[in-house]
Amino acid sequence: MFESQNVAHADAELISRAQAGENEAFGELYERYVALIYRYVLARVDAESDAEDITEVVFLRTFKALHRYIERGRPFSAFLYQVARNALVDHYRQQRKTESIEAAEKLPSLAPDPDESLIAKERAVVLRRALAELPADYQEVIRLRIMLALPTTIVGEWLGRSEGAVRVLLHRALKTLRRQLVGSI
Amino acid sequence: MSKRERRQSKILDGCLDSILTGEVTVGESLREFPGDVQELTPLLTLALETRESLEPDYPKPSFVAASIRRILSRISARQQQSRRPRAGIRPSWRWKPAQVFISLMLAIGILAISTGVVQAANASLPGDALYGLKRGLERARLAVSWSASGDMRLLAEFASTRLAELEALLAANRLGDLDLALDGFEDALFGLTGLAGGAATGLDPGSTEFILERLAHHQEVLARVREQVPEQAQPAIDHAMERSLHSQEVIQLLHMGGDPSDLAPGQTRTPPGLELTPPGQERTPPGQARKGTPTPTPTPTPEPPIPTPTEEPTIHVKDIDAYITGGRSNQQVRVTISIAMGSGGNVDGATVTGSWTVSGSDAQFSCITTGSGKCTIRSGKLPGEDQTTFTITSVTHPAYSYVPADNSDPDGDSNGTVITIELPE
Repeated sequence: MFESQNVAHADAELISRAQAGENEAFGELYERYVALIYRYVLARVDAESDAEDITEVVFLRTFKALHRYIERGRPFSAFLYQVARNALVDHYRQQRKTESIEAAEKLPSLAPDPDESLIAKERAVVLRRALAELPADYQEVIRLRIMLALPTTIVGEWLGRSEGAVRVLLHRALKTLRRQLVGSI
Repeated sequence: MSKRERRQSKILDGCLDSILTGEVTVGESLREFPGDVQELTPLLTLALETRESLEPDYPKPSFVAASIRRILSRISARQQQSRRPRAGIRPSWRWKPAQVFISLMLAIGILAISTGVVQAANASLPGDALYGLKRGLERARLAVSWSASGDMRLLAEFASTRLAELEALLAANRLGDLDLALDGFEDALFGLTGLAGGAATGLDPGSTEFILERLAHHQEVLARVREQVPEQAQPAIDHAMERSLHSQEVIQLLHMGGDPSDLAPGQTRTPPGLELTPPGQERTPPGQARKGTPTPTPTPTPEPPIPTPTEEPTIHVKDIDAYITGGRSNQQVRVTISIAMGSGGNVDGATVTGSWTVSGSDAQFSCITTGSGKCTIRSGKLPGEDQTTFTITSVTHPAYSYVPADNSDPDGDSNGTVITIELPE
């Protein structure tokens, strides 16, 4: 999805049509990016139902903001990412009011298959906890580059950093995560 | 950042691409880097394990289908509502003296209560119960602002408020909430730079000065906060600082008459005094007239010239400009490269690759030109360096051939391929 300049041109055309009131064009943009945004949101909220709700909010907000959107050489996905981040901030704020800390720390069922090893599930819990202990930008680069396997170029576009900065950030993030894990054993 | 760290980061990143797609194992990916195996193997193994354990699932097809139906239906409903004529709405009641009195009393009561609540909300910090109201009031202020300049001033002001909250949270040792304030700060600046593009038709000098003054103040606050936060929180402050510097660049470029759409995010800056609009070329976006510039009379669009078959599809470097940002301890250099066709037109989508000669670094950096034919590459921080040189090693484009011999620089600060930048003492 990310390598081709054609994608950017196709996006620009869809955005332009959507801005002109063609809802089907927005539907196409949704289909292109819903999985990406949903998976990013799910990486941050754990619960599928929350991820679904927030993803829907992201696209609704995007539509509302679309008339102000001006293509500036940044991929459209970077715009969606920013909307998703804002929606997540709102979600966390809301969650603080309604959930106890225990509930917020409740971990998702990562291995629905009962045959899947308990060790793997526990390891995932340990990893997730260690990840949560990292500084926000370390967490984010691991989510984007490792968990979602996005190309460094795109991660740079999303985070507003150069590719070199992303590479160094990731290197440091992994080293810190490793130290956290070694320390937790 | 050491040379070794930069090199290892690059290797790590390259290996990740092939490991995450399952093309090779960790060991295979590091075969060409025997000196780094010991340090990078555990990191790559951890990355792979993290991916395998925490990779988020894809959305269910049922959700995707239902969600888009709901979204489109809400969009249609909204569009129909906005098209409905308002002239037909008529009040079916008339004011009576008693109603006026009751309403007045109610309004005074609500105002008295709400003033107290609003004051409390204004004093609230991220994570407090009334904080949502505070942000809601800010959104309301934005909604009633009439101009892009007004919106931008407000957003700069809100960003300042977020930083004041950041300092208050720090003073209260509420470190867990710092992220919320920083997120809000970055969101405000994101909105500000977004509006900057739309405001290219005119940002009044008063607003520009106000915003630039706020942004400079933000950087002072962030530098101060950085000294006080735990080491783990410093990267987040650095990120906010980067965002602030980028916003400053956008506003400055706009102030100089440039077009922020030339800016890649966090990537470029045009030197002060540089003529941004080449003589005879209008850079104003179509349909928008720059403030103070007479609106041209629309003329029929001329037919685009038909390229002659003899025209060589070649490209070259038309200009390289460099600019230094930051102080002595965190100075960076940014070079903006302009790529043009043999015929002079700007080239979109050319990949420019080059290297910095900083303490013997051999790292290669790339950027892709936008519609303006420009892209920017940053050096990263260069504390203590006296000078640096950037050399363009290649320019590639799917349709055109690069001819380095045609490279030029009208400013004379480079030869079109190599630019040397003297850093301040």
